[in-house]
Amino acid sequence: MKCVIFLLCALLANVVYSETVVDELEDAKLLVAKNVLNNYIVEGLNLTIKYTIHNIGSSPALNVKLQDENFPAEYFEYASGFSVAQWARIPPKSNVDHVVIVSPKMPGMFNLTSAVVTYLPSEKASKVQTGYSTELGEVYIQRLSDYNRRYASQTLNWILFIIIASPSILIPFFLWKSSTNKYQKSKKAKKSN
Amino acid sequence: MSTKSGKPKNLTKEEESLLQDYSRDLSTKSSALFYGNAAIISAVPIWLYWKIHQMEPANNYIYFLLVTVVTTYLISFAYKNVKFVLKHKIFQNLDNVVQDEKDKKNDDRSLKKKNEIAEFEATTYSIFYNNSLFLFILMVASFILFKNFTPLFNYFLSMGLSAGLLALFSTSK
Repeated sequence: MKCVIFLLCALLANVVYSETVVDELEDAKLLVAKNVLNNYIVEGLNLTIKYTIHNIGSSPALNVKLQDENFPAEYFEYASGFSVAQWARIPPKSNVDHVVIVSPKMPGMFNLTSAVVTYLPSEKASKVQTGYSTELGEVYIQRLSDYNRRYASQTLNWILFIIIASPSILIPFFLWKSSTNKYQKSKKAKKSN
Repeated sequence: MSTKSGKPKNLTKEEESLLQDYSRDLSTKSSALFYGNAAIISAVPIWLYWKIHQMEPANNYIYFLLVTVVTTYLISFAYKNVKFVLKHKIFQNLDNVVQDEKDKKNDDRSLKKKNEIAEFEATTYSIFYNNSLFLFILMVASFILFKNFTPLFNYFLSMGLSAGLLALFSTSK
């Protein structure tokens, strides 16, 4: 008897769970990943941010709007893309990308938080769903001079330095050498005589 | 006992010339040559610090100027000392290379000629040797020893060390 009751309870729980899972995935569900594609974040150089929106639900997401207020005009300049992107529809089990290129105007620590995505989870839904992307946290924007000192190619500068410095060494050397050779030759000539 | 007269003994032209040859004092021409070369070699690293260490001249011109003046003095001091030591060595090695049949009887003329050659060779070699050593020590100091310092401290320390060592080494015989 107890065994039958236990089995019935397990069956009931399974049905409830299955229905719940089906309910959760029936509507659209958007997951947003925000990534920085650069190895270094440097003042004055382009910084590429990629947003990937995955719809893991079974319904298309409608009126999708992605907004990122992390790059205010006083600290960043948009080189490509916009802070707001919209899609009329994101099909289920698919993803879309949005890329933005910004250029930091000043060095220092900066907090990069989440972007916000709003959408309608189904055609029948009237209430807008809000989601948040992954956040990057505090990042350090390097000075351009520090970055150039560490990583920029200096080949041309070294070649120019060698060209600038060599007269100070070569001219005295050749003058000394020519004088030495002249009197060495005279000495040999006199010895042979 | 008679007191010494206050008047200094007048030297002949030959004695003055001899004293000049054997002293460390430089003629005006030599001084100008040494200071000019020292100023050039002191200014050359400014390019290095501007382009490679990213020190903008507009922001750092005062430091560049001060350090260049100090290193010019130290490098010209090194030139003078090295030239003095070398000149005597070269003079001794010159032998009779400048003596010909006519001059054999004219020792003064021969000596003068040898002196000129020794002066020239010592001057040029001193400049070459000190410039090369200065740049070598500067490269080692700037890119190995003081690599992790800020550019300004790197400049002060590298230039100071290079010019200081040059002046120090020049005092040895």
